[in-house]
Amino acid sequence: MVAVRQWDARVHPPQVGQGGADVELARRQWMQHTILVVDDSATIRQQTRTLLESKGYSVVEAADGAQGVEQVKNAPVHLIIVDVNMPVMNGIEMIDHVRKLPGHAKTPIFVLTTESSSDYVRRGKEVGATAWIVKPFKPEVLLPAIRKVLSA
Amino acid sequence: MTSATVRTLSDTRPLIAGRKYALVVSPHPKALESLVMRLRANGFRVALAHSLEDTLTIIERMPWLSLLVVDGSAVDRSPPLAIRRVRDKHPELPVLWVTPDEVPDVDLVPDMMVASSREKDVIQKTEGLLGRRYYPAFIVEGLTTCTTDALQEAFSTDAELLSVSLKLTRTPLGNIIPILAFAGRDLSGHLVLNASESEFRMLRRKVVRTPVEESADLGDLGGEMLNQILGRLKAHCLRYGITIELGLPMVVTGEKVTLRFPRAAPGIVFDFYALGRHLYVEFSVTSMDVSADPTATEIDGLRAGELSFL
Repeated sequence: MVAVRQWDARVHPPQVGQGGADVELARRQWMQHTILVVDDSATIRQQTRTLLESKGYSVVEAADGAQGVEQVKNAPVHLIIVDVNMPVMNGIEMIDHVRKLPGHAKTPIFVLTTESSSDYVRRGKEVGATAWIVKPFKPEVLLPAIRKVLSA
Repeated sequence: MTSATVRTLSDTRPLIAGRKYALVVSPHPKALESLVMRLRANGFRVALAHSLEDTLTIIERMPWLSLLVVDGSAVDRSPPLAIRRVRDKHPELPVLWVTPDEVPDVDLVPDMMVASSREKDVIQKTEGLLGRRYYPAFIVEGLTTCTTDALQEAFSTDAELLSVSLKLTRTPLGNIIPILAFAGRDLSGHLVLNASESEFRMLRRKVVRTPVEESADLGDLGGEMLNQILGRLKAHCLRYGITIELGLPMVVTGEKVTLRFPRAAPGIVFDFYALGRHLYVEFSVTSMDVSADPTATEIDGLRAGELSFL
């Protein structure tokens, strides 16, 4: 129910003082950025979710690249954090798919992975990744980078 | 009992060092000449050193060295001291000691002794020595550092290495056994995490604060730990020209689990002390050829925790 209101609210953002509490909730959610975390490790998803939600972001999750693409198709996502090595569809393939979806040519996509070699980073850049982070993430590095791209 | 066969990735060659490199140490250039010739005739690539300092320098530059041959009659006037210094720095390197005399210090027993380089079976003995499973120092050191760093930086846990030993058989400490396969042209195998369930719980509470933990959560944590350890080892090996690709973590659960790795060699076990308990990282190799590439070099790449805009 809230998700539908949120979707509608993206097109016509509710105004302050307009409507009741549910509209106010929808307005706040419209202002809130939604971040999709794609990782086959539930530990990493939960760790990332805890950090991001503590800073006011809304978080949705996917356990592999294919699920991630479906999430992007079905709900508003303002930034994506994606691992590389995953079953079904890896992170590089997922970025390639997402970049071809309408409206997501410029959605910020951060790769969060144990892969650190320049060869992998180059492949990420080729498919359109925005930034590359080697696990484990440091909150003092990740959060400013997210703020920077979402405020751009 | 649960029995699981773990599938390897693409490369399942048997464990064979592709080339054999020997370093022959003698103060006299001609002293072991016949042995050098016989080693070369039997497929060895042979380097020569005439002093202890040369020896240590060459070993540092040739991490793929497979054998050290020492002329025990006179090395820097003090053969036991020489071998002790080599042993201290490179405990993994097999040493063939050529001397007609007894080695005076019983603590310094080399891997094999021959009375004379002219002994008929010296090459046979040498091959036997190399037939032992052998792990280069840079892998042992790399895995130690990668594990302690990953535990500290990603899981807020200090770990201390207690020992490294050959793995023969080992009873799993708990019912949750995370495994991560890796494969590459030069090195392939598995990394296995052996810790108690209570230790997994303590580790998980360091990173994720949720009241309810299922065994799947603990297995997932173990898989991610292996992922981060092996990710670091991959970067470490790349410095030596060795490329490996990571598989996906899997978790075997059950009581009295037996793991059988097709064509796996006896592995090595790293015993860490973390959170007041033992945590074993087991490194099992299905193929290894680390002889072909040169000295460690710096490589481009990000370090753990770093972010780069593309």
